Parts: sequence; structure tokens; C-alpha cells
Amino acid sequence: MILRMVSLGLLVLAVTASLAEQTAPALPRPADLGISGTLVDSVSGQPLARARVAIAPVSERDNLTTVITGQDGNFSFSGLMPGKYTLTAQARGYLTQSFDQHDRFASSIVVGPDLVSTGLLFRLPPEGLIVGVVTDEAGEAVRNAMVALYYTGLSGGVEATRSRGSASTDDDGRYHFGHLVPGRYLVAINARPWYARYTPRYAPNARVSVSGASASITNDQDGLSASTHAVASPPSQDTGNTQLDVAYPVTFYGGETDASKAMPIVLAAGDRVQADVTLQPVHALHLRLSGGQGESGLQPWVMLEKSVLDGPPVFVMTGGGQEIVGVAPGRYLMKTYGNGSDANGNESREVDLTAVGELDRSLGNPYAQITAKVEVDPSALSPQASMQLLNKKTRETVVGRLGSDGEVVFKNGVPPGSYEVSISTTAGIYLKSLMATGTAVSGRTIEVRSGGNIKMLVTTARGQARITGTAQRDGKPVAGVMIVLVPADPAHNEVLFRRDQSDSDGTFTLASVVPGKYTLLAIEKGWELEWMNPDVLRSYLGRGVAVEVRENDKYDIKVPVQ
Amino acid sequence: MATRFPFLLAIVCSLTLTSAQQPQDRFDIAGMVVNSATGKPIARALVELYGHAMLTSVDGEFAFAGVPAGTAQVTLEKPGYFVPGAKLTNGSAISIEVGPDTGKIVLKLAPEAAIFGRVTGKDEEPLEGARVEALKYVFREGGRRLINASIGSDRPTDEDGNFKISVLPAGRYYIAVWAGNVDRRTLGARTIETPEAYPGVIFYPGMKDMGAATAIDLVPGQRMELQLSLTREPAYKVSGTVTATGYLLVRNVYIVGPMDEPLFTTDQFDARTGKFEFRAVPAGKYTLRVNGSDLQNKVSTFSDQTLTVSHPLADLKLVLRPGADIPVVIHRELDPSRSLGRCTSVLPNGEPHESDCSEYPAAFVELIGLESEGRRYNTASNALPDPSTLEFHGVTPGKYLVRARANFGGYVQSLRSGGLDLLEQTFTVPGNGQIAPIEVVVRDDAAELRVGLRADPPRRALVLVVPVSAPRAAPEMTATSSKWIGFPNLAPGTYDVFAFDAQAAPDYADPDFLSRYAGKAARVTVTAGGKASVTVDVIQLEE
Repeated sequence: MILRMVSLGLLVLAVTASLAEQTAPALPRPADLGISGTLVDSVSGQPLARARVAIAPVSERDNLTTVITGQDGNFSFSGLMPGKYTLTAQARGYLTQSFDQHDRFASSIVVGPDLVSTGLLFRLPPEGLIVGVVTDEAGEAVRNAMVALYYTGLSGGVEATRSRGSASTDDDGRYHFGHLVPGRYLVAINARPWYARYTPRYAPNARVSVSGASASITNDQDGLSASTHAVASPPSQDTGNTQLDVAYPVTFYGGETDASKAMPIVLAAGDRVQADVTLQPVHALHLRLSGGQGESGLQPWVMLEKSVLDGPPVFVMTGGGQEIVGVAPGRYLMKTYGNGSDANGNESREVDLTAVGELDRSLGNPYAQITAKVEVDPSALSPQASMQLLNKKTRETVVGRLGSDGEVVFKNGVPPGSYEVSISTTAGIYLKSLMATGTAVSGRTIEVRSGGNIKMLVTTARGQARITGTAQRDGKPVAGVMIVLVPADPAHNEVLFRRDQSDSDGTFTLASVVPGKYTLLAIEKGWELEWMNPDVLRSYLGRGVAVEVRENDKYDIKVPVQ
Repeated sequence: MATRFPFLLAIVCSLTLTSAQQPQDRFDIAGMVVNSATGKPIARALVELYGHAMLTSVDGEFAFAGVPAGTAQVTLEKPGYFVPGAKLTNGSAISIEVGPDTGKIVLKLAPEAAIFGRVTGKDEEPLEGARVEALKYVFREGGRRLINASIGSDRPTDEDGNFKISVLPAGRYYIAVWAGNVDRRTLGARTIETPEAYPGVIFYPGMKDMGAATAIDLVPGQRMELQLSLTREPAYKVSGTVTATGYLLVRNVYIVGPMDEPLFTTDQFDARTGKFEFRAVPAGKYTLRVNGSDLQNKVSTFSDQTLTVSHPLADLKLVLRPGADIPVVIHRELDPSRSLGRCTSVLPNGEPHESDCSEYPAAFVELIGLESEGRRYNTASNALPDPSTLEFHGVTPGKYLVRARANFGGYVQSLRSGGLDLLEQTFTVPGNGQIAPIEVVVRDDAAELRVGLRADPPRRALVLVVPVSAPRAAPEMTATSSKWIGFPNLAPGTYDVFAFDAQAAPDYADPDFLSRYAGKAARVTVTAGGKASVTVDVIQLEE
């Protein structure tokens, strides 16, 4: 069963299109059919009293019936109609989860005359918490600092670094991330010293000035002087505020400013970790943009981001005009935008900013211009219809609106990289073929080169298929195993994967399957694998079931559990 | 003092004199920043003078060398503190007099106050996701309004029910707890057979009616702890269908509380069929609001109906109607020999275009919602084929304050709709029916008033020129450090002129406040095209 998470931070079960069609068979209701079991702490095994446990038919997930567990952690629902039910629990201090949940998947409980749906052991993991205080070089609270939380490890079948949200510090410099799953986390802080003053250095007539004095910014001069060698001497006369012309580098928990050296926070189930961070100011850089002025004559603007391993970068700042101030020295991903209306002048590149100076914009990697024509039944187009380009490395998605003629223009251009193409229109329509000029195409993946000009032609068809089946070992159904439908050439067709977890009777459903050749796998403890990685799946493919899926077909397949 | 920081003076740069400047005497000044509540020095406060900034020492001290004689503006900043009077004067500037007699300067900062605590429900269960706000009354735009004073610091309660409202100036507050989202986080709370739900909003110490709420008075630097406890109440399902008329598209439906804020959003809403459902609404009186816009999402509007919940409600019918279109006519009664000015614009082809401004509307008219601050409409300011005929489009029914000002010098002589004098009366926009046009008369024979200020020592003052005859018109207002200030574009009429010490942050929009100081105001009558002058004392407010 696949779950769908809805906002509000907690789990709200919603009807997924795939399962909405299923209804409980209208069999007579035997009086003794029910679901029962014990809710326990997944780490200690201790029963959880006074927790909420709810069931709902999978076809009607909003129709919840709730009970409160007793002192022994027991819960019981009786007098049920035969059918599949979601089973979900909520307890204070625990993650709200469905039965045997892994990522977005869980096992439904199937109720029927010859099925076992009682005596369940429902293991609920305690949730973790990371809190901390951000202080400055004088030990005072840093307010409104942006705190980015990253989870690094196996998540959604990939070993990767993923953003787990951001928060800003309060007036006491405190931040708080609750409801966390166990794992390794990084905390990154982006802030600007509240007292920083940036006097333009390149602007003409920077300042006609009276005399003045300036104080030291810190009692501890070491933090500052240590980094001064990285800063070139100012090109214009000193105007008095140099001691306040400072910035905080993006700082990770542990004090590192480089993500690859940052100390991860290891959060065990139920842990509350205090992760305080102290920021140290460094002299800020003054950068001036030159070269490659857009034809529009508009001033370009720049966005600086800090890479965080293989995850989405931390936003650092935007700047524009003559001069960019308040930048701490270091390595950045710099994105430059010529003007807002087209891709002209948009580019990105890695920069190592160590000194004051000019940044020649013409040395960057200009974004590619991409247009596409999607051949699609006009009735399938809605104002929300779009094409998505998924960057295989950063996992960021570039979205283009599908016009009423099926034309797509990626107005702001597309940064260089490897992208997988998908479309979303009305239900049932899928991308059938992809051709392109100006790029290499493998499956649904295109290689976007810097400054390229790519034209794509996409054909579509209607009629996605549906696969149901049972995971079996020695002829007996197996619950809670990972079901994965692997497309041919998986590395270039990520969007064709379909997944589920077998329910209590071993059954599963894969909906919205795009016609084509696949291998169907059932893997016990598959959730502990890097299952999105084609190399990891390769050793399982030999014992899978080959399926050739045709339009609108329905399949019912028995899959051996590996 | 400065000699204790010799390195500070190492960076002193010399004066650059332009030919226009007279040589001036210069002085070294020194001072201290202190906490106004405790009198203790504040370290690492930022003091800025003539573009030069420094942080105070551990002892709260600062020093500047070679400062020109005369009045100087000091800006002061420190997280955790307010600059007294900062909201009135520009930024956080404080005037100081620099001269041979300038002694040690003492600058005061008022510490922020905060309110913190926990929100709990049944059996002391902590409630996550509730929003706690500190509300305060302010006077502005024609009335006393209750506003959220905690914007930016009102995070929802955490998993332990904790909240904190910080960055509060001293003053009187009322505490509101918005709990409409709490039940959404609780598994099954809105689906059990006899649903109960937390009320959408309660006011400390547990009142449903703001009028019964208990005020909380905070002094500077106070950190007050409050425990807030909520109980679930019987709740009912409310459902129905909404339809839109005209060119409108329904965007959403929600239930609005006593402060015109959304309390509950729909559990189910289908924009195609217009069917909506709220699964658990506690018994009570509310407003049911449907919100929509035109197809391009350019004009948004909403329609309200009252909602009394004491049992389940099904098949409610709601209609979204376009708001009222109200014509605005601007009459220019101008002396043809006088020029309005010169207006420069850029044509679509990039060519500059210069004109006598006659293609621009001569007045700017605003409708300001008296029931909800969010309801605001204003007329166009761009060049138009017929700039004397404007329109408010899609105005939601309700009570409004109408404000008009002349765009190119001149003044608004009258502002009327049918028999209503909108300079004195409230404008009510009905749900249907004809609305008389708003007529604005703009004239250019304005009166000029010069106001002289008496203050010893001279200091920054806030000067208010309050019309006596048109109480709903906005007062003219200027902050100044000079001894004279001119108001060149006054409508003929009678005014009360006040001058307040700008540092003290008077609540000048409060009519009670002004009447308290009426004895210290100067009353003056100005005539069309006439000139008058008046001298007033700068009023020192009691702290």
C-alpha cells in the first residue's frame, strides 16, 4: 500500500487515485471479523498506553474509526466488513505512522474469513528532536538566522543528502526541528551580523565624509585577523566602517564552514539533541560584476548558494547592481540572471571567492535554451499541465507550462546537467516517445550542455495500465515486502519505476503503469537497500518476473520473494 | 574616554570639504548607551553618526572624533531593545547637539518584553500547532483597531505546546489563541461519531468574546509566563454548495471569526462543483465567507453570510457576487494661468514624453475598510484618456473611510457621495443597488501655514495640523528638527496645530490623546490663497 502524505507536518491519509476504485466486497459481515493488536515502542518494545489508533477502508481513507489504547497498549476494532484497511497510530513523542511503514509505504490489514488480522504487533518509532541556540562571537543570540536541516543517508531508496526543512532563530537565537526520524543530520546556519555595515567601494564618489572612529567588532580579534590574508586591500580610501564590513560564512554544526568536513548529528530514535552553533565573522568581500552585459542593458543580479554534499544547496544571498557586498570568502555556486524575461544572460558556475575583485560574467556556464512540442490530445490539457525536467544530480526540478498548442518554453533557461523528462497532464496520459535536437537522448534522459539550444518533440498516449499481484514464498503470501517494478534501462527511466509494499495478505497494487517492458521484484527487507540505484537492483533482476505491459491492461502476477 | 581606545582613532579620516561648505568647528564627543529600565550600560550597541558606525564597549561607551558643531542625527541599534520614539521619526534617529558644551551623551534603549508559556488541552495534553498572538489596540485611519502586535514572532506551538511572543514594546495586550488547526493534527479527531473540536479562537483567560478578555500590561523588559488551557466542545458538520455569478471564479470557502480572520478552512472543497464541507465546527456564531476572483486572478472579492452553528448544517447555498463598481468623478477647479507642473513619462516606444500633467488624475482616492484592514481600494494614478472619471471596481460591501489627496499641489476641497460628506461621514457600500458616484473637488488656491516651534533645548518634533471642521480627514504631519516648518497645501478651514517631542512616540491618531493636549494646541483659520503663521510650544509628554 502506498501512502500519500499531506501537509501540516503530520500524516494525513488521503485517497490515492490508484486505490479509490477498490471497494470492500459486499459479502455478508461475519460478526467476529476485526483488527486487533498491541502498540509498542519500536525500540524498547514497551506497550504504548493512551495512544490513538485508527483504521479506514483503503477506498475511503478519510473515514477513520479511532480507538485509544489501554494500559497494555492493546487496541481492537470489531464487526468489520471484509476488505483492506489502513492502520495508523499516533502517540505523543512518536512518529505518526501506518502499520510497518517504510518511507511512504505501509502494509494494509486485510480482513476476511480466512485471514489473520488479530494479534498484530504495531511498532511505533519514537521521534527525534534537534534544537539549538545560535550565538555570535560575543556570545549573544543571533536572531532571524536561517537554519537549514539536512538528512544524510538512505532515504527514499537513495543514499543522499536531502533538505528536511528550514527554520529561523527566535529572539533568543533558538531553533527547533521536531518529529524527526532517526538518522544522520547536518545543520547549516546562514546569517548576517546584525551590526554589519557595507560601504560601497567601487561606486563613484563612494562617500564624502567627515571624520569618525570605528570600534573593534569583537573582543576576540583572532577570528578576524586570521582570515584577513584572504582579502585584498580595499581599492578605495577607507571610509571608517571597515571593522563592521564583515559577514558570517555559512556555518555547520561543529563550526565547520565546509559541508564535507561538517560533523553529522547522529540522532537515535527518541533522541533530543542540542546542537548549538557559534558564528565567527570574517571580513566581507566586495564583488563587482563585469562582462557579458545583457542586450537589454539591465543590470544582472546574482544568487549565491553553498553546496551541501550532494543535496540541495543552502541559499546564501542575492545581490545585484554595481557591487555585491557582505559575502564571506569561500566556494559558492553562483547563479547569474541577466534579466527576468528570458534565458539570455542566465548562467551558473562554481566560484572560489577569496579576494575582492571583479567577477567576469562571460566565464560562466550559460543556461541552455530549451523548447518542446508535446503532441497531445487538446482535451488532456489544463492550465496546470506542465513538463518537468528532473536534475539527476541535484534532484531539483525545472518546470515549464504546457501551452494550449502543446508548446513548452523554459523561459529562464536550464542549467547544464543531466535531466529526466516527464509530463503531467490529465490522468492516464503518459509520455510515449522523446526525440530531441541539440542533445543526446537516452530513454527519458537528456544531457543539457552549457549554452545549448535544445528542441524536443514528445509524443503521448493514453492508457496507463495497472498491476496487482501477490508476493509469495513457497506458495504462501508474504506481508511487508518491497515490491518494485523496474523499467528497461532503469538509469535513464527513473520516472517509470513503480513501488508498493505487500499488504497483510501478500497482495499489492501498482497503478498508473506506463506501457513497456519491466521486471517485477519482491524483496524482503528491500527498504534497507538503495533501491533507486540500478546497480543495487541488478543482482535481483535475474529472479524477478518479466512483464510486458500494454495499454489499459490489468495484470495479476505472483512474484517470488527474494 | 576616546583615549582609552587609541586604536579607534587610528582609522579617523580627514574631512573632505567642498567649496560650498563653510569651515566648521569640530568637537570630540563621547557617551554611553544604557538600558532605560535598569540604567545599566549596554555593550555592543551600534551607534552611527554621519555614516560612521561603531559598537559600544563592554561599558556601553562610544566616542566620535571631529564631529561638526550643530544638530546631528545619531542612529542607535541593538537586538533586544527598542529606540524610544523610533516608530515616529525616520528610522531610529535621535538628535544630539554638538558644541563646546556637549557633555557626556546618554542614549537610552528600552528592552523588549515577551510573553511565553504552554497551550494545553484535556488532561494537560500539550497542544501542537496552535497560534498564540498578542493583540493591541491602535488608532489609525479613523478608528480604534485591534491588530496583531506579534507578527514575525508568533510561531505555532511546538510538540510540547510551547509558545513565545517576543519583540514586544511595553504596553497593553490581549492574548488570542487560534486553535483551528490543532484538531487537524490529531488522528481521527474530526471524524469520530460525536465530534468535538477546539474553538477557533479564545481570548485569555479563556473567553470567546474579545470584550471579556483580560488585558495584560507589560513593562519594558518584562518576560511574562502564561498558561493557556483549551477544552474541546461539541462540533458539527457544515456543508453546502457555493456558486459564482458573473465573471467570477470561486477560490475557496472558509469560516471567519470575530476579528475577520479565518478560523477554519474546508476539509473538502471541490472547485468544479462548488461542494464544500467543514467536518467539525464548534457551536457558535461565525461568518461564512466565499473568496473568489476573476479568471485572470486580478480582482479578488468575497461574499459573506452569517453562520450560526448549533447542530449539523447541510445543503447551505452560498453565492459569490461581484463587488460594487463605484464611479469617481474628479472636478478640477483650477486657475488656468497656474501650471500644475511638468510630468515626464516613457512611451511604449521608449521615447520620453513631457506634458502639463493634465492627462493624470488630479486626485488619489482610497477606500479603507473599517471592519477589516485588508479591504483597501485605490484609484488609478497613471495617465488616462479621461482622467476626471475613475472607478473603484468590485468593492466588497461594508463600511469604509474615504480618503482623497490632490496629486499635483492643490488640495481637496470637498469629497461627497450623493448627500454624504465623506470628509465627515462613513461611506457604506451596500450589497446591491445603485451607489452614487464619489465626487472630489480639487482646487489650487491652497492656504499656506507656517508653524514656528518653541523648544529649549531645540529638539526633533512631530508637528500635526489637525482639521477641526473635517474630523475624518487625515492630519498633515511632519517631523522636523528646524525652528520653522511650512504646510503649503492646506485646504481653507480651521486647524489645531500640535507639536510633540518626537522621541516620546505619541499616539497621535487617538482622538482622546489629542483632546488631552488640546489646551497646548494653537488654533488657526486659513483662507483660500491666504498665508498664516502660528507658533507653538513643543509638548513634552509625561512618560
